Amino acid sequence: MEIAPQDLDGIRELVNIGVGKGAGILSEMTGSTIELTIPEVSIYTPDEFGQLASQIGTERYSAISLDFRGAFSGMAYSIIPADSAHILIDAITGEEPSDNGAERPFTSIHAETLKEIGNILINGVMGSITNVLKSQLTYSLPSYCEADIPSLIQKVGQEHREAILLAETHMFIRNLNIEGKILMIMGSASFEILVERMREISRDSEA
Amino acid sequence: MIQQANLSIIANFSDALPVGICIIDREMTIIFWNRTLAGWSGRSGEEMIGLNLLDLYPDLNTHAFRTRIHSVLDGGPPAVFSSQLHKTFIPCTQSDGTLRVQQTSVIGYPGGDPDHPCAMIIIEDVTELDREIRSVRRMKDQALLEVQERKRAEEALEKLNVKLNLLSSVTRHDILNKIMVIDGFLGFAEEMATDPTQAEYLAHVRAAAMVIQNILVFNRQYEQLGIEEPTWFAIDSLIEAIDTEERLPIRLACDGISIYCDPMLEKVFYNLYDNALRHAEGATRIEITCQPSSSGLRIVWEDDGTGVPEDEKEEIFKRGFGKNTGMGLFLVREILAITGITITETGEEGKGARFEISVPEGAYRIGNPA
Repeated sequence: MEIAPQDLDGIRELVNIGVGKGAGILSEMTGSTIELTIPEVSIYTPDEFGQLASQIGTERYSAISLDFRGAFSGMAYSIIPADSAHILIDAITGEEPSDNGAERPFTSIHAETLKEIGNILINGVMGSITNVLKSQLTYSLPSYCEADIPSLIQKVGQEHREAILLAETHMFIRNLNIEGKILMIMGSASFEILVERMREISRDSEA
Repeated sequence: MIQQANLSIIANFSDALPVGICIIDREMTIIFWNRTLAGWSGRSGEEMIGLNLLDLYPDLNTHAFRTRIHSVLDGGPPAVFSSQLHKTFIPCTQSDGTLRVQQTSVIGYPGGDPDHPCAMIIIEDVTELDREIRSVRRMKDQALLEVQERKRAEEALEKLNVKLNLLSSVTRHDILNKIMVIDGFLGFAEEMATDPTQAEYLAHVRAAAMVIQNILVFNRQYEQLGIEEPTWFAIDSLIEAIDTEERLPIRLACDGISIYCDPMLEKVFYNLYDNALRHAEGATRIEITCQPSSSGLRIVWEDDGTGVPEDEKEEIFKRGFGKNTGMGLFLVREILAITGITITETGEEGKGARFEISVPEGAYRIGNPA
């Protein structure tokens, strides 16, 4: 499917609304101002997955995943570099950042905290998308894992691995700048539904 | 009707689960409250059903909570509430007065009436896990603090050591220079001395000066002990390096065996050889054998000289013992001890000296180092 610049603009806006909603909830819950930059959005086809891997590298990420099924099926990930996990948790929970973060054990309690943060961001984005699609989806419970991006893509079933939407943003919290990404991997049919629906809305608003 | 049937199915299995389960409708009214949650909260299901969750627990009545729960009720993805960000979702006091730490997931409840969406709140008690993790973290922080303190102390000691070594080296150098002067003038004095008593006194002075010189030489060697990292040494190479000049031939049967030791190991074999030359009267040979066993390697160094008297077997390893410098075997034992190697004298007086060197498992290998 050919993607026009205005399609990409529409998707960027959708993701931006979702991420903004997530940042608002996170700010309210933590009592700290959390700002997220407008995401840089790019779309990759299976032929371009290699290009994506070479762009992003083989860095390890802490990833929260959410599987969604229905008219629009696939997997959404909220990811941050694994090295930043303790920094983000300390910032969000208001704990004093530790000098030896890298040496601190990463426990299931920490994973659960990251899961909540990722859950809020993903739900924001999924909320924006389902509003546009106007269809009900079923979801898995979010889960946590650590892996590089090619491995995260591989975790998704072949039939849902035909288009990747990558949104890159930066989270500013307590003078810290933490890189974060939303990765949405879906089948080509799902992606076409999303783009078609965006085009319909655009045509309706112009009419 | 369908909803009631589904709730009774849920009640049947959820009462057996170790998690708290509560189902709420769109108005946040409680329609199900399982036995675990009743036990934790002290409020029975009969008491809770029909009450409003937000009225009961006002901490949940914030925009962020409501938004997230409503999003689930609207058919959105599950919402998770971690214990680090929310110590407790539904406050439940334990017998010791503390609150249960909880991890909560809120998911859409599909078993209800499609026109009246519901949400299921699943609460996991992680109090014990949280306590253990905090305790491990405290222990780790304490250990890290101690490591940092130790590191600082080591750095300070290292600096002090450098200064002491410098001072010791300069002092040693100056004293050795002065001994050389004493030695020179003693030579003149001995030539000029005609009185036998005077000559005897001068001999005592020379002997004392030589003892001082020996102590300083030993001191220089001892200072080198443990400075460099231990490494692997092939026994046959070290023995070959000893200059025997055919005075006392060495027969060695330790082919390809290496031991892990301080780099001063060569002094061990040199001193044992020197010891034999000085004290093993009538000795014709030295034999060295290696015997690997389940507990390690035993290296046996033996000669066929006069041997060591029973009451001196341990004394010979003490500093200052003996007729020469009194440092040789003391230094030998100290060098070996750095990597856990021990040495004892086990020979029979009159049949020769026998030194047994015990190398622990892991500190020897068969096959020369690459």
